Amino acid sequence: MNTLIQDISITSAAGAVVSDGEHSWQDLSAFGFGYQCPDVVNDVVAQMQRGGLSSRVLMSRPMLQLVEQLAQLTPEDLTMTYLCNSPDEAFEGAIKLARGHNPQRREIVVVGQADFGCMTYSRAMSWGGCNAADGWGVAVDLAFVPFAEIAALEQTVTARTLAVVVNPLEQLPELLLLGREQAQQIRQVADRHGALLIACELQTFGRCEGLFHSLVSGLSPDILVYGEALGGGVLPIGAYTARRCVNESVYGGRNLALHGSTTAGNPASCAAASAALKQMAARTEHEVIRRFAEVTSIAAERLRRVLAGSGIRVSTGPAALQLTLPGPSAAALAERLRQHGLLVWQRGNALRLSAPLLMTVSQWSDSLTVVVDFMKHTQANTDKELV
Amino acid sequence: MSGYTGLYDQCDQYWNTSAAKIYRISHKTAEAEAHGAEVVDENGRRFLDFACSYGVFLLGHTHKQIVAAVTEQTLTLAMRPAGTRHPSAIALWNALQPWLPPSMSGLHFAHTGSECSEMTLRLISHRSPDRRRIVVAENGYHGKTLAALDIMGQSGHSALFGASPAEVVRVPYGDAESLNYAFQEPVAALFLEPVLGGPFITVPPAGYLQMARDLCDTQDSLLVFDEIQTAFGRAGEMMECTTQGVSPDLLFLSKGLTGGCAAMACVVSHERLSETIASLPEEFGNPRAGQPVACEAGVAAIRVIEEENLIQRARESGAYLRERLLAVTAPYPEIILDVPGKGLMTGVKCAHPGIELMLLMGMDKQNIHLGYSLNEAAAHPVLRFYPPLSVTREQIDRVADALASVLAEVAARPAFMRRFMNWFTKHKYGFPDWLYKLA
Ligand SMILES: Cc1ncc(COP(=O)(O)O)c(C=O)c1O
Repeated sequence: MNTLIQDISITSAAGAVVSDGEHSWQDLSAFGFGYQCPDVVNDVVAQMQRGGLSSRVLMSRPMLQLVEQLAQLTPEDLTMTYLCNSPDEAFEGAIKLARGHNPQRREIVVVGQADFGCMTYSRAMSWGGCNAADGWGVAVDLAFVPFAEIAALEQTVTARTLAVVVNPLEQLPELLLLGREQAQQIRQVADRHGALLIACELQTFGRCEGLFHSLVSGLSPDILVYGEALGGGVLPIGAYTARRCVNESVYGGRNLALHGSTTAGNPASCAAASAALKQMAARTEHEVIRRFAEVTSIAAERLRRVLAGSGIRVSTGPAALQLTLPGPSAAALAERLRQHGLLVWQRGNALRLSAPLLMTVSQWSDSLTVVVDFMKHTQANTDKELV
Repeated sequence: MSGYTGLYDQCDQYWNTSAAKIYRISHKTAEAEAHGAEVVDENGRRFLDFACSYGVFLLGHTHKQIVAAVTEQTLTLAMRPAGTRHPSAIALWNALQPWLPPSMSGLHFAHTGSECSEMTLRLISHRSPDRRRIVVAENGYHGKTLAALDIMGQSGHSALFGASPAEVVRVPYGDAESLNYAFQEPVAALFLEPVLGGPFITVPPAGYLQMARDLCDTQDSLLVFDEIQTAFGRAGEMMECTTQGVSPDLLFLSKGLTGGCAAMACVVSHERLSETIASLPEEFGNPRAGQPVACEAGVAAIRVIEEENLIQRARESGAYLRERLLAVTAPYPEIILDVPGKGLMTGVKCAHPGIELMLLMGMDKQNIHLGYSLNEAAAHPVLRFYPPLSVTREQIDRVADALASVLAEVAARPAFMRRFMNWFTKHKYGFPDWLYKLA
């Protein structure tokens, strides 16, 4: 639970800025799209007048056009897309597909400490499995492999493994992006044991060249999960795209009601996604990605100098920067940044800032400057105990 | 050749091959817009919607007041950052609260009904890690995500996706003795729909829900009412549990909740669970759900139900619809076994899935959409008649008259033809692709 921001009641927002009517903040707390993008809002409003949800007897053109478009954007070989009401359900749907594909197998190997969403399996897999043992847990065994130990993955994946799940952005203890070599290694290990490979790009989607990190890393997953930014900051939607043979092994020739929810892939959320994808096309060009990376790494370097000797570690991801504190909690620091106009994400001793997709490079640079200046100040003053 | 071949191909290549087969063989078109009780396809053909997406469009399609509310909220602030709040959630609680049983105190958001089941099962397992028995109704339905599948009333459906960490006991719906028997061992929770829905519409005997409450009380088990299909007037009451004076520990709402203008679900919790909920390792609801647009839709929908006196109208229209369906189907006892239901949660119980499909197709030709069960495993599926609550007598008459003529046609078909349709229905996803294309 993000206890830092639950007391804020947001009443308006635009781009990266949210406001409660009195104060406003740059929202750097999630890997989202940003708010109230006029093109997305207009398309959604237009669809709402015709019918935001589908009658589900006739075909839905917005939905079918979107899945075709996604087949073109996702890595080659991934063609069958299932749209869901949330990123969380998209990940869950991928796990369900993998279970149906390998019903005799009983184990999932999770690579990377990250957030996989709010559904039961997702929560059990999140953050290195810290909640996996609550209550009855889940009906499969889970094994966790941090990025640092990928070389030893071979020892963990076995003939019992139904899927290897990878989040290409490890988020704890530090931000770390999966490298090409690691990606190939994971693919090979999964292949050797006949396990499916699921890439969970809930956080990296829209932040890498060509939309997906899998395209850059060559991970070549069997199922790709993405979302968060897909709804264009207007409506919730998530998706997974799978190889046809994987999808058909479970759903082919079977009742079409075997999977899905009442309002999944509804026309209004498809309108939001189509409009968002148009916006993202510009955002994921090589030049823009490069400039975000440059600005982020300059700020990270400055922070490392400022924080030298403090024990605070600085790490970066795609348009994201994280501080990992030596102490138990980064909450106080996050609270102070909130007073300086930045909403950040915090969990335990980690604090993260990530630019919503609507943010410009210069806005991102300004926000990072606020952090650098603030940390400079805390290091030079009595505020030191804050960290 | 159909002008929709391109869409069928898109569906086949990029979404769902079984859906593509069904669309192709039934020459489906694409929806363009929908208003009130009507869905209009891209060719301007108008269908009277007695399916309403299995209950979502309780207030008809694109109700002006609700569309105005969601439009305004979308233009102002569609989404808030995950974890923050928005005044619309409080407004929704204030609108809902008068209709809830006493002492319900928490509103927890989700995106879908399935997610309600997922989060509730986590809560149950956290509360009683050593008690794994969950009692559900045979043929009950609470969603299709992995954890939700575990408590599905039809065990065959979940078998494909593996084991459950819970010990799930399925009891015949409405049967007091079986329910009692299931409580011979310690029970963690009981899940019930106050009127069994889906293709199995069943109204329980009087006192069944209270008995469920009493059994749960004796064992400190949680009682979960899933009112996703029944609430907001579908079964003739705003909430079945409130009318019957039975407070659940957890209550699921969705479908009618947003008047068909947004996707959202929620779990309402009883105050006695506040501490347990606070002790969960993570938030109970989904911090990304319950967005301003969906909450505003909910507020507007409840206002419409109240202002248009839709609960009373649903009761009256429901009685009239069932009366007409009973009259029209009475001459065909070998085809239609019953007209079960309550309020506007009704339909015709078919002798077999083949009959259901024949009726569906016949009614479709008359530009009427009905709620098809999509369940060829059900022995006697109920073909659902779920009109909007504002349905008029004229619309009911048109549908009943159409059903009379379709039934006459079906009854006139030779018995082997009906048997063939039943065989076809059960195998309809399994034929080679060329056959569907040929059709
Ligand atoms: C009674 C009931 N519970 C749960 C659900 C699942 O809801 P969803 O499809 O939104 O996951 C449904 C949907 O049909 C339902 O009718």
